[in-house]
Amino acid sequence: MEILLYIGILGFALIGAPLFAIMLLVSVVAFHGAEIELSAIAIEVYRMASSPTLLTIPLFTFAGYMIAESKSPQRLLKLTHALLGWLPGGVAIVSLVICAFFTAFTGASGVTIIALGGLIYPMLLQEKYDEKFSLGLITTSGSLGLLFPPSLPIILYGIVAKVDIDKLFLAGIVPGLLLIVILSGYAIYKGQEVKRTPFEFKKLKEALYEARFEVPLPFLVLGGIYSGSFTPTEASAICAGYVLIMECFLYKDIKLGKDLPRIIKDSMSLVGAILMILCCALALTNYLVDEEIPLQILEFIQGAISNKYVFLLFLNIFLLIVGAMMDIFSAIIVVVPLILPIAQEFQIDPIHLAIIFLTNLEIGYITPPVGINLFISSFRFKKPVVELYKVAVPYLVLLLIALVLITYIPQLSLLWF
Amino acid sequence: MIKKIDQCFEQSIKILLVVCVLVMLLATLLNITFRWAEIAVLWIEPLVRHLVFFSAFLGGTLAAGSDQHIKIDLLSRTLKSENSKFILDKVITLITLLAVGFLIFSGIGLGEVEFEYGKKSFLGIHSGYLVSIIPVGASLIGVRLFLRLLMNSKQIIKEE
Repeated sequence: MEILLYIGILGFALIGAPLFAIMLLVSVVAFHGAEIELSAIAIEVYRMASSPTLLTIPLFTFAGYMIAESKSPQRLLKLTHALLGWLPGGVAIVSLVICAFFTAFTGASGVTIIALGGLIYPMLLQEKYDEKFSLGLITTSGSLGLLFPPSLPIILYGIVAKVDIDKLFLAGIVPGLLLIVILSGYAIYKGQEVKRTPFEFKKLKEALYEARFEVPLPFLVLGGIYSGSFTPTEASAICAGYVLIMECFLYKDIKLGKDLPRIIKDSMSLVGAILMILCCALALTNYLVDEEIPLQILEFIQGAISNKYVFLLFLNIFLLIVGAMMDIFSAIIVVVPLILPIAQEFQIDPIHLAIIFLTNLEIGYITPPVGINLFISSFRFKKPVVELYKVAVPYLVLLLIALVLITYIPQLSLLWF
Repeated sequence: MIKKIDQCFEQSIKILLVVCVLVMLLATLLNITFRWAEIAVLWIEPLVRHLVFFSAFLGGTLAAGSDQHIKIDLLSRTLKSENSKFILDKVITLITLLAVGFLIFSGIGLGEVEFEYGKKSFLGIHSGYLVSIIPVGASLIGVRLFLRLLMNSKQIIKEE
């Protein structure tokens, strides 16, 4: 009977029932089967209220949405263009850098492609970049920057895996830069024929002045955390407060009465969707741990794999499939508690594991057939999704090369420790 | 009529969310200032955590109304006809409503236990009220889902 119920719930998941509801139903069946009172589910859900880093999720998301709704993307684009536009493939590199910065603040929720795609895509075409190259670049850039602080998936991973968020922020910097450097190399190769924009100090000065309030933001957030002036949770409040003052009072891009409630509503809908899964998953994952499910999976895996490097290979393949099939937030909440103890048995550093995990999911965004960035780009640029599959291939290959380097050279992630 | 009720409900949730977000932001900034001034105000941090917890349900309520909850969306992408999509939406809303019903039931159970055996927490608030965030928050999601269920039916009847 229980098995039939689980199959039914799996069916509900496949037809598109919200994941939080699926997790609740699985918990109900599991708790009932184990003759545990249903109020135990509420006890587990309430545990979320005791997480000290929980505040980072709504406040960083709120800050990211405010940046997305303002004219900051245009100002930052102008600045990076003035700074890097003279390089071969300059505009393409500018796009990569700006998208990475933007994704770090908006959490790769599709906002980058929607908000910046309309600015960058015509700019690339105007500079005579190949249409397929440009489309692929924007589709890939939609999740680039996911490894940079204060990205929402990093924070969520830290909460779920109980790893220090400030350590994860540091660990992601070099692998994140590696991804940008590899893609920039490709942009330089493809941009050889494209006319370069000469460097002008006057333009840089002008752009720097225009973006004078945005430029200190990453330094304020990261500098504050690593100088010990404030915790990541406090950094999220300072970041949100700073962005609020910057956009509402200094630049006046966002109207307090008209725009702010809408931005809060939009950002909190996403936060609500993530936190609902997180709190419902707490009940389920605790049950799985109590039932020693990860241990059973470990025993099964150890029967087939005994080598750490072979395990890493299989882990990558598994995570790429997960990344292509599942949303990043639910993937973190569901999969991390299962693989964490297994990876520990294979002596993989939890911080290195986090970076491998997030890189895989970042690549999953552009992995056919169901990588979400492919669908967002298809919708945004009105192109058939099959065309997006084709344009994503070279980027996919390059990112897979980066993934191999990140997986098998742990020093890239653990450089700071 | 149903649509109007839903809009009023959404507007109320939106106002509550705006208040929650601004209070959690200001309270945390205040806490940082107090810490730098070496003044300990112990109730701010748990208050903010519970506001985030309540905001999760409020955000979840908004997401429920606009079908923004995270899901593995394999089937609806392949469906072409509007009728099949409508039926699927109905089934999914009902399943979600059932799951939320279990959460309300579970939350009420915990609330009863807390009111009987719990103690006063920060600002003298009884822990029973704090855990009641779960049934209250889940009920808000439930109401939104129920309205969505009715609203769609009305639209179909109107179209016919």
